Amino acid sequence: MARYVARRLLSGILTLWVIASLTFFLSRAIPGGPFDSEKQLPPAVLENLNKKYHLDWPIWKQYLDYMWRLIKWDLGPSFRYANQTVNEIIAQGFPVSAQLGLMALAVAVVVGISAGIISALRQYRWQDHLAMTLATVGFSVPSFILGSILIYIFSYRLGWLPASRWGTWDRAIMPVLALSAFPTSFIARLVRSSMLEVLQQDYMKAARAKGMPGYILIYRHALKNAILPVITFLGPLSAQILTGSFVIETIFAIPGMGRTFVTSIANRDYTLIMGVTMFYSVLLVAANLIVDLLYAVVDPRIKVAGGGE
Amino acid sequence: MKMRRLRALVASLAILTLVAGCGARTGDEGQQGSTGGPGGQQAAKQELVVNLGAEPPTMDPGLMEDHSSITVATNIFEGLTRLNPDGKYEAAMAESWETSEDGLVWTFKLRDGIQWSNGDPVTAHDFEFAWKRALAPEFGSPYAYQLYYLKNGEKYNKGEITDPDQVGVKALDDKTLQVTLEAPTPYFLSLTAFPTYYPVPKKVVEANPNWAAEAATLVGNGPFKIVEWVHNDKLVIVKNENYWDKDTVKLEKITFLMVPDGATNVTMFENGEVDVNLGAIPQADLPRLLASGDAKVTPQLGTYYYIVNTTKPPFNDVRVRKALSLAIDRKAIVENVTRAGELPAYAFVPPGIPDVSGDFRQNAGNYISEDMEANIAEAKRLLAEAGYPDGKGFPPAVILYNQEGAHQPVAEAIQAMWKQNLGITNITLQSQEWKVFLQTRHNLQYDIARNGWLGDYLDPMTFLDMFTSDSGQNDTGWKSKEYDELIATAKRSADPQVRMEAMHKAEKMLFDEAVVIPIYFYVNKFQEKPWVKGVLHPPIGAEDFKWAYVEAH
Repeated sequence: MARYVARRLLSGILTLWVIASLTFFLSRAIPGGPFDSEKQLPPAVLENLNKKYHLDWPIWKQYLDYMWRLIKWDLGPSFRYANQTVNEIIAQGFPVSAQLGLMALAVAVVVGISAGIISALRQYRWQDHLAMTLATVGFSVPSFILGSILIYIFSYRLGWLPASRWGTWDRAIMPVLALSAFPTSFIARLVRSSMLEVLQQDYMKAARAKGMPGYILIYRHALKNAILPVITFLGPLSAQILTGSFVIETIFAIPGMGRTFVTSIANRDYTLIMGVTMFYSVLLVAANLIVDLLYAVVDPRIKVAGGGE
Repeated sequence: MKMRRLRALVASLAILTLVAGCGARTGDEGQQGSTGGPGGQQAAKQELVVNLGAEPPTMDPGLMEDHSSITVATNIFEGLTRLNPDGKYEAAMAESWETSEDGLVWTFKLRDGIQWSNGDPVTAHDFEFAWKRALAPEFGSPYAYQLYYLKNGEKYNKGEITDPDQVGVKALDDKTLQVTLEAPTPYFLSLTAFPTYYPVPKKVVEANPNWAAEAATLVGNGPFKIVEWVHNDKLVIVKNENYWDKDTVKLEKITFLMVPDGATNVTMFENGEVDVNLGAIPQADLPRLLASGDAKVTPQLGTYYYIVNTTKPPFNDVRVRKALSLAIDRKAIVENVTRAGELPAYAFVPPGIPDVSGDFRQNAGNYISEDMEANIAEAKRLLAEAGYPDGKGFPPAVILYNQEGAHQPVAEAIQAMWKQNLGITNITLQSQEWKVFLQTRHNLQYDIARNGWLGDYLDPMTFLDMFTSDSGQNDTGWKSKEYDELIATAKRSADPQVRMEAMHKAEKMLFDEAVVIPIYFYVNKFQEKPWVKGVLHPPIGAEDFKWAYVEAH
């Protein structure tokens, strides 16, 4: 186990290094720089700015400098937000995105799994049709449209909920709904199909024949197996959902990290692009590792003994 | 039928607003907003929620260059002068000033008893410190060039001299600031109202270089002071009791929000979650909101225009450029495409800038006729002369614009006008991401491109010196020694007669040579509840709430 984790950690670090290098060179390869605007800066002013942020250094020196600071997790100053460092911006944005993301994730898991189970057990009956119709809608309607429709109905028409911003529970309802629609639907469909598959298995029939009560049967035998694909999906989903959604955060004016990420690219805010990308990558690598370890716990068929398998 | 009548109604209302917009523009500088209108009782609760649309990237006056930062700074800082509701630059931190005979030395006397929001006195040393700091090369101020008017300012910023004491700003004592300029600058008092010219609290800044990052450490000297700043969410300012003119200030509190999405903004405004929306308004909703009075416009000192790559055939032929310009129906564009009360532009410098006497624009009149029929006939003649009768043989060309904003509909309208009026059929459109677009345009890798310019100060120069041969702003490829000489003459002289004459000649040259194709003059678009009074939406600079109040409703 320890050797397995060590090996996974090592490959994780390698992955992070590749991502960091690619992002570093790609972001600088896009035409346009951080200080371009409709009002062209005089060359002298531009030179001063480049000097201030070490953009006048040769690219290999900038790269080595950045890598060295990345190891210390010093992500540098933002070019756009002149008084803030990238570390500060992430520290402000991530908790908000994570809070929103965790709520959405909780909704997705609870509602998605329940709907999936009900659908599977009531296959081809109205419960199944209803759940799957909703799932298809949630699956195919983009979140920005869903968000706008929610605002239109609940803020504009009914006046029940504030249209945007963050901080109180009533402000969280619409963004959480909009953000969880896709993963909820996905999980519901996933659980339904794998449940149906599991329910056909011989051991289920055997268990039922032995007279095992229904809920134990469902919980202990069916669900435990049917949940595996959900866990696979949850890894990358968590990382993605926790780091924020640009669309949802823009529509609802939520001060999270998703908005920061996309605007940083438009601003060519190199350090901020790098910082947010690396933060996201670390989360993703970690989430995948945790999911793989969880498999071992949930699925007895998998043994993560290190070395020769 | 019903639909058509509705449309006619909307159109006529839009025209009404347009006319109203024009009305506001005549008058010397244009009265912006209504200050202390008759009848209105003040509400007990003097508080406003204002949407900025974006997080201010910085609150350090020396570093800021964008509109949302400048809007907040206008209300929590103050320069030597301040733009007042009559459109004049009035004494603010300065009480009075004198100018030397040659217009080069300005001596400002500061008011007695002016204080920072932490209670420290504002002194001439704070000004000297702020200006030298913004010019210091290692400080990296993007707007440092706004201080190039100061003697040796440019040299110091460029690193050609290293002694900051050679820069033309000196505190003679706590109350007296002596400023020495490179050249006589008649509009200097409009510059001293600009953030780069604001003072900063020397003691605070020296103790903590990152003083402007958070509300807790930020110290200002304006009508309001900052009390809370939750990044990307809200910024709260309250009335500053240490402000010298605090009796004028009626608002107790302003909460600035940073909601970026246009549709959300409109909903929040209609829900009453926001009193003033300075952020985005969806283009599709504008005509409706203007008609209902939920959106308003005021003139802005700016020009939306097209440029062509004058180094590339067929655009190197002045007759082609003139024909293209003449064949655009500017009135149709503002009435049917942009529809926010913009003024069609028949010249380059927008109205609202003073001449020796009167208005620079009105004195010069139009350089392009408003008579479309005559324009089209002339354009056809010129195009035929250039070898493309009825557009035949005109090489394929591309109109380049950026994705963000509503540039495509304008480009489509122009494409259609050139086709219909000149018979040019092979114009195509191409959009690029903002920064890519800027670079493509700057590198002259385009045929025809959109452009826009907002004035920095109240003088025609801010619209004219950008077309000199060595200007980084000149993306047309057009270079003229004669034009450079006219601009240099205007910059050297202190005589208003000489300056204005040279600038009128320069602007005329831009049209004799058809260097620019102006489309319309910009307007400020915003939403404001009817009970919000006295907010300044000036043609240059940012929204000022010093004179604003809430009417009982």
